[in-house]
Amino acid sequence: MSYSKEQVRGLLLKLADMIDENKQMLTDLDAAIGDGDHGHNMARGFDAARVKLAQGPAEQDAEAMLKATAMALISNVGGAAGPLYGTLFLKGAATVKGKEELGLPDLADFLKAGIEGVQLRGKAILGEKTMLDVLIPVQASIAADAESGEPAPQSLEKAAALARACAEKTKEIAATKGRASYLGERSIGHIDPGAMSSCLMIETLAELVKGG
Amino acid sequence: MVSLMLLSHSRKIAEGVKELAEEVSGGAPVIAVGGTKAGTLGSDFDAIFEQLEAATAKGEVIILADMGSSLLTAETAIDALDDDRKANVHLSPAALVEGSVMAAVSLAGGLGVAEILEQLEEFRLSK
Repeated sequence: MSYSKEQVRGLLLKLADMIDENKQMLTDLDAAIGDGDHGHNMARGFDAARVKLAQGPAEQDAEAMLKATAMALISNVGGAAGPLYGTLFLKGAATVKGKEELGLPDLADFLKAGIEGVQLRGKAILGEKTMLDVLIPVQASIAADAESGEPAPQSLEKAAALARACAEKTKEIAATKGRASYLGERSIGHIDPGAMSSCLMIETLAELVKGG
Repeated sequence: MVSLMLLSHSRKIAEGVKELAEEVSGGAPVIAVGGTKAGTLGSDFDAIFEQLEAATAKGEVIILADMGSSLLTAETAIDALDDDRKANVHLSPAALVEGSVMAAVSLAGGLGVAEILEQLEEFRLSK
């Protein structure tokens, strides 16, 4: 089962819609333990990505579209999520270079390179109440499924459920990274907004793939 | 020429620290970038990158930043520079206000970049 660049464009536009719909919820999560701007910052970034995608040539390949999204996020989010998600998309984009059709193994590679970039930039590891607490387990699950030949819709359905559970689990962690680290133990009981935005992105991807 | 670049989430903080630093910098260039394009609190990658390109064309740059996205955006902007420019940029982990004044005084006193960076260690924060 494989996906075309048109489906990548569809996914990016769907992510922009999804972030817009959830911006208040994400900002509210951030207001509890951070500086209260995550949702609106992300929405600004994805709005810019939408414009860039529309302005780009119609025949853009997946790498170009993912890169354009990365640059839009880096330039327009304004918070730490800009460089972090921007790096995720930028490093991920390099892995799809020259590919016309994308499948589950490509997604695993995309996420692997993206996560490495995020870790290098944010200097965080698993279990520090960040987006990585969703992305790392999700990547591992998708990579294992790609290896065993699981169909993409089933694998992503699993990944989406895992993402939700992992995002919820960030409640139990005391933050040591980002603005939430100023709260330390008092950040316990709150979901990390970055983990939630990552979870929502995986869920959006799963829904699209399920719909064919 | 060595430039001092000050980054903050807030335009007012960046400009205020620049004012403090310029008082003692002996004319060494001090650049302040604060806030987002939208005028809100945060970081503007394009503004930082543009200033960094201009400053590295003239020589070395010492960057001090407040935290979080200021630092991450600075690192991302450094990555986006041409390879031969990257080595000219030094991102200090020092406290923004105290570090900036110390760096400015040291620039006025003719200290080299390596010496200034070493002095800034005194104001190192884990951020």
